[in-house]
Amino acid sequence: MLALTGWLLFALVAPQSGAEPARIFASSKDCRECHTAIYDEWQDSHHAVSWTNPAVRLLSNDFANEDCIDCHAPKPIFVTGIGERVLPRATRRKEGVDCISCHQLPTNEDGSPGGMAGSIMSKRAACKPVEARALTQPDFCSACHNQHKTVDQWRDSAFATGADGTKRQDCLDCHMPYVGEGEAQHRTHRFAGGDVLDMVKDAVTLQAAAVNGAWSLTLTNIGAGHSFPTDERSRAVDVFWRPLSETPGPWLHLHRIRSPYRSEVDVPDTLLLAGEARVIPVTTAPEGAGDPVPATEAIEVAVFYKRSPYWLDPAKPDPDNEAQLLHSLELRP
Amino acid sequence: MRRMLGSLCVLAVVAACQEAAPEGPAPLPAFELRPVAAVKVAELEARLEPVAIPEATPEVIEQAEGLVIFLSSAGSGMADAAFEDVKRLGDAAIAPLLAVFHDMERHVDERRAALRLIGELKSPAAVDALLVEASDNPEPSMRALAAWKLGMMGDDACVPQLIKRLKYESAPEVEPWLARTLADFDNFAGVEALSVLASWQGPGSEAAVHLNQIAQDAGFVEPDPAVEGDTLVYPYKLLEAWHAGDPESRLPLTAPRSDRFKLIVWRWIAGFADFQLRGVDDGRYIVADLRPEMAAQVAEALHDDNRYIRTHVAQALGRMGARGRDAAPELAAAIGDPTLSITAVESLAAVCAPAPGAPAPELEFSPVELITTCTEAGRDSGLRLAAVRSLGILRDKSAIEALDALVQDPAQFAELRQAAAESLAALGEGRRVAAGLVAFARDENLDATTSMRALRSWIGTEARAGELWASDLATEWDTLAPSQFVAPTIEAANQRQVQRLALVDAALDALTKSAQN
Repeated sequence: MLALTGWLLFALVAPQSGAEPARIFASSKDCRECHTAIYDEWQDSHHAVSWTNPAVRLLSNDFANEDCIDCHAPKPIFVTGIGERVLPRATRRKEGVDCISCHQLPTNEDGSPGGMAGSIMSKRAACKPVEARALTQPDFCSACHNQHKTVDQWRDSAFATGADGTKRQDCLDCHMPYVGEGEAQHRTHRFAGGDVLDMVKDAVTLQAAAVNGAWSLTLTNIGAGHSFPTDERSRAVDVFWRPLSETPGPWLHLHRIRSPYRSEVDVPDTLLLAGEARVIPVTTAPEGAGDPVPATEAIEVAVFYKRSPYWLDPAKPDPDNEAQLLHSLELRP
Repeated sequence: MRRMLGSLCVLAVVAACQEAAPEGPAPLPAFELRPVAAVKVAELEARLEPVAIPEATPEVIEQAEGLVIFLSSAGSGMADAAFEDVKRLGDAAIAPLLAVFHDMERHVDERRAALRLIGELKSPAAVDALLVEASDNPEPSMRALAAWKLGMMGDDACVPQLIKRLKYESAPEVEPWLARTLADFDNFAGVEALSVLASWQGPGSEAAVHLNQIAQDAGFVEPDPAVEGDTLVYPYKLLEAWHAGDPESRLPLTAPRSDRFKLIVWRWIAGFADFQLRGVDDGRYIVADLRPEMAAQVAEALHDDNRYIRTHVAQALGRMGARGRDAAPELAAAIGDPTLSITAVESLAAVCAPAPGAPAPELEFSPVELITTCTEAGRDSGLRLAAVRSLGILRDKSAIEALDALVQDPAQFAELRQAAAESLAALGEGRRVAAGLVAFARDENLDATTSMRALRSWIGTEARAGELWASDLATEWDTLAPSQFVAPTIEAANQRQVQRLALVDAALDALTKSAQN
């Protein structure tokens, strides 16, 4: 902690003396002058491309669906209020969810425009940061991320309640862990989440067993402190199986995990809750229909992660080409 | 009186904008804030009886069951007898009829009969019961039946919920009945979706038949659809009238809106304060699809002391387009509220923009002058940017001089100059600013997509004017479009942009050489 404080002090104090007024930051690029490492991490994150990401552009009809703008180019959270819903900003939309979105305060301590929230207070740094613990609280993230109930899912989970002796962890513990050593140690601004495949893989385990003579799978949400997957209805997780063969045939669909769009009145919400272990019997037709696949048969099962909910040909889903493999198992009698 | 006050506010905003002090632009006059939506809801609730479905006695349950069996097996001539009988049972019949309807073990004729009997009650509770089925029932045929029956009940309270359903309905057998029932209440929000469906299904299709019927009922004789490529385009005069801004062209409202209708609309507006955007999105969709005479009433909520309510009301009014023009004075006055000014400017432009080829609307003030003053240096950068973009939407060429000045002033921030160039392109100056748009699109500090859109729009305008090079360029540009079903990568999107800009470069070079020769 001391090392972190020292690093931040160095980073924040170095640029200019305390005699000058706090700068008013017109762009997050201004922050890079002093916070290069953090700026570079952010640039590699999905927060940085929340406005420009072609996938977002496609799903929002190039933001013709203006309802998406609020969270993809928000006004500073401290300006709209902690725990309040964000509102869209008119300028710098290309910078997406940027430094200013999270750190800009409504005013300096003296009431003048500007001011930045940080993890320490310094009157000598160019941005004159004010220590704001609110930055670390789930309520801060909820302004956007609870629009799809992710923070509420966390509040109901053992990650928040500490039930069954679970170590309490919040948004920052998983999505902004400390990185670096010594003076360079800081909370990463890479904001790894559903865009980092390894993190998605670590969130769930896939196990298999023969039950009453038939194959049965158990998919468990062990790593996400919220439902899996969460936040975006555009994402889905699909479980497939196929006979084990040297020349494998097409994957056969078993089960889908997804929260439906509002228009999909006949699609159930099947998100895997935090800590939930879901038993999925291997059957010849999806969602438990058809006959059980006997445990005397050698089969292959796999879990795929999909960043858009639809298959090019719904009758013949091709997860190898349209989704990303999370886990697979070969089951032999 | 309220309209007069609104006009005075507009004059004050215009005067403040024009009386720029030497040290900077004059402050905009204060805009009064007060509780509006909550007061409206409370007033309307006090005037109306609460709606509830009463419990049914065993006798009523037995009689309702009997009516279901009778109606499902009776000929059409006997149906009236059943309808009269259910009216005698009143709202107490709703619960047992719903029980029959939801019993999937029952024959479908019995379930349909139950729904039809509820529709004959024509009470607020019956309307609410059918609205649930029209919206949430998983069977499209039952949603369609409920929507159809609502059109025969004569209660306009169903309109907001049916507009909301338009947003989500994807079943082609339901959409026509949503549109027709809405049209029964003089709301033509469903016609647009129906015309798209008809263009897919073709002439003589179910959607086309419904579309013609709606137009005919509204007093329009529509021409045959035009064939453009492999799609049919319906040039519906009805749609033009639905989107009309000037009062003379508007479609008549045959009966004044009920208090129940107003209560539901104001509840949605009050819901704009909620945290979850889901409900807010639905509310904006509903308000944006209301009839033109609602615009001035809804505009009162621009004064609401909740910033979310006034912001989202302004957005919804803007989305009404010309239909929302009666709100123009209030939107102009709302520019005086710093928390609302950006949205107010954008929405003012949207409601004042004339239809293509139509003259500028006649108003008591000049939107283009007012919005131009909002672009002055010294005002909030977001307001300036919104104002510059809005000048392009207004399509008033008197803004060209001010926009030119901004594009050419290197002291202005780049995003503002870019927006000014894009607005100039929208005002017909595309060829003059195209090279600038290419440069803005290549500037990695700026959002390229707005300039790319402006370029594509300019190319289309040139092509429609008969420029062959522009037709070719448009074809090449569109050939690079990504699949609609697979999200492109950032690298692919960047590559596509590079290719498209190179195409424009080549076209501009050729135009320059051609001009020199």
